[in-house]
Amino acid sequence: MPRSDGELMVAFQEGDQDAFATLYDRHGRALVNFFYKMCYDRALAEDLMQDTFLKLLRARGKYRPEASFKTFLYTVAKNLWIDRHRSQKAAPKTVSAEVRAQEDGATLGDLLEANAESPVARLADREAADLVRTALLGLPEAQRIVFVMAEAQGLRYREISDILGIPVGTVKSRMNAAVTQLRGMLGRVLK
Amino acid sequence: MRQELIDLLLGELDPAEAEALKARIRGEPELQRELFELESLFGLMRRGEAVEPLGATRAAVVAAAARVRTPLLVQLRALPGLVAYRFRRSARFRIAVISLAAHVVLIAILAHILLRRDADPRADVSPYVTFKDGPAEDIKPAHEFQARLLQRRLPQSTRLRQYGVEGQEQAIEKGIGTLLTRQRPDGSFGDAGETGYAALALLAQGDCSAQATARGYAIRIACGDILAEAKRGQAHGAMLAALVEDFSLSYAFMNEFERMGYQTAIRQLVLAVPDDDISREALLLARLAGFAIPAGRDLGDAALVVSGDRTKLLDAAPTRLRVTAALARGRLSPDPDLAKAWAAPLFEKAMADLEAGKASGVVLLTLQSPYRL
Repeated sequence: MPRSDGELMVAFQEGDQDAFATLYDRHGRALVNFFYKMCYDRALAEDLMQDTFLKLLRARGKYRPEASFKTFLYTVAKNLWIDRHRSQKAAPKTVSAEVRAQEDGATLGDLLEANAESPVARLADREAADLVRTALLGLPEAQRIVFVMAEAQGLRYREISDILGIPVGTVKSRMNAAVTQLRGMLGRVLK
Repeated sequence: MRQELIDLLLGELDPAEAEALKARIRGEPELQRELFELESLFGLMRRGEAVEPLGATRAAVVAAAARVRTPLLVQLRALPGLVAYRFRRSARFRIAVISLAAHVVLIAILAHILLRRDADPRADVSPYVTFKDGPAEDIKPAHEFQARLLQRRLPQSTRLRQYGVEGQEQAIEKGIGTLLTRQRPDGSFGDAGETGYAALALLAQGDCSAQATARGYAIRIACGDILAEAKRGQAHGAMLAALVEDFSLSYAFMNEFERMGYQTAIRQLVLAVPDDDISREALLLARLAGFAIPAGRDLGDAALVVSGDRTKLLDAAPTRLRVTAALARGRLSPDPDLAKAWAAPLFEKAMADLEAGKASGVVLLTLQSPYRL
């Protein structure tokens, strides 16, 4: 019978390093996708995911087995996101695909697109992914984090409430508002 | 009603509520349409791009976990016979009491030692006097004093506490300025800069003073002078890394960086990378590559090739590194020929090192973009 997350964390506190690797294997992918859907920056998401685990290492003594590990993990992740997000708000960090990438005027986006293995076959998925990206990034951050946690991460309202430090009612109303806005933005695809 | 439908899809309703709602939906076409749209919306979200963590990140995290030492308290807690939670709780309490007592004893011992050191007034005053009034050409004691003060390694006598307070309030900025300017009367830093750089590193990390003016001073010194002169040395590397690691500092740093012209500065930094220890500079470069370039900048300018011990590099800055030949192919640069010309010698050297067994890997640092490389 596999050990629970809480048991693994306690085992790690007691010196079992494999337990931490197992926790990483269980939650690393979900966590990087959480950050990715918050910012749609692959490198930043990877960065934040790693920092979350490193912070978890440092804060391992604070974990108590009676608490939910997932809530603990995402609280660390949320704090990290807020810190990073606030610190980076002041300066744009993305690059434009419209930058002239070649002397013939082709842009970076053109080049990357040209290097796709099968652009026709991937066009529909790509378009959907782009639309989702645009719509998610269009949400106010407070709504987006609730939506991503609930919809993509499968966290319960109660857990989100604990992680974000807001009432459950607020979680629900933000979720509702996010869905309303997303439907408005993605209506063309949904119809 | 939409809220209930969302709750249903997210599994937030208890079974009875869910059944009741489903029964109602079956009888109301309008609700069915609403539910269908919500399902479509959530389905669409799942088609958004999913990403897989890099293998290198796992390796770095697991390696970091392996370096963690198990605290004594936890080791004791894990002793056979104390495994049950109830026992662990009571044991934890007892150990906490013992630990507290041990801390008190330790503090008492340390205080005793410090008081004994304080008993000799010359032990702390003389370097201060030397620093304050000493001849300009004899500054080594002043360096030591400043470094010790900044590292809080001096005894806490009244006089030094006063100086420390002044240091927090106003004197560190001035002190470091004096320290650095005194050691470069001809405008250069000379050979005695290590202590000053170490002090700056501490200051830049906020270990000495949280004052914005002092930090700003450190940044100005670091960027305007040291960086421009491409000074070498571990203290310098540590300071730069500290500046870039501290996000709140990095923007001020970047402003200065931009003023200088980052392409020039990066090139100088690359040239300043010592062959035998590149981890700190690599960290810096990686951070720069991640932070530095606002929209529309030349992508190729931030792309760098660094050769060396890849394990070290990944350990130092795993998430901003990409092993890619994008730059060498000229794919990222608006001027492929220029980028190739710049990167090619470094790349060739890196490959030669690799083939000769001098390096275990080649890492090409590239500017991160929203696109996968």
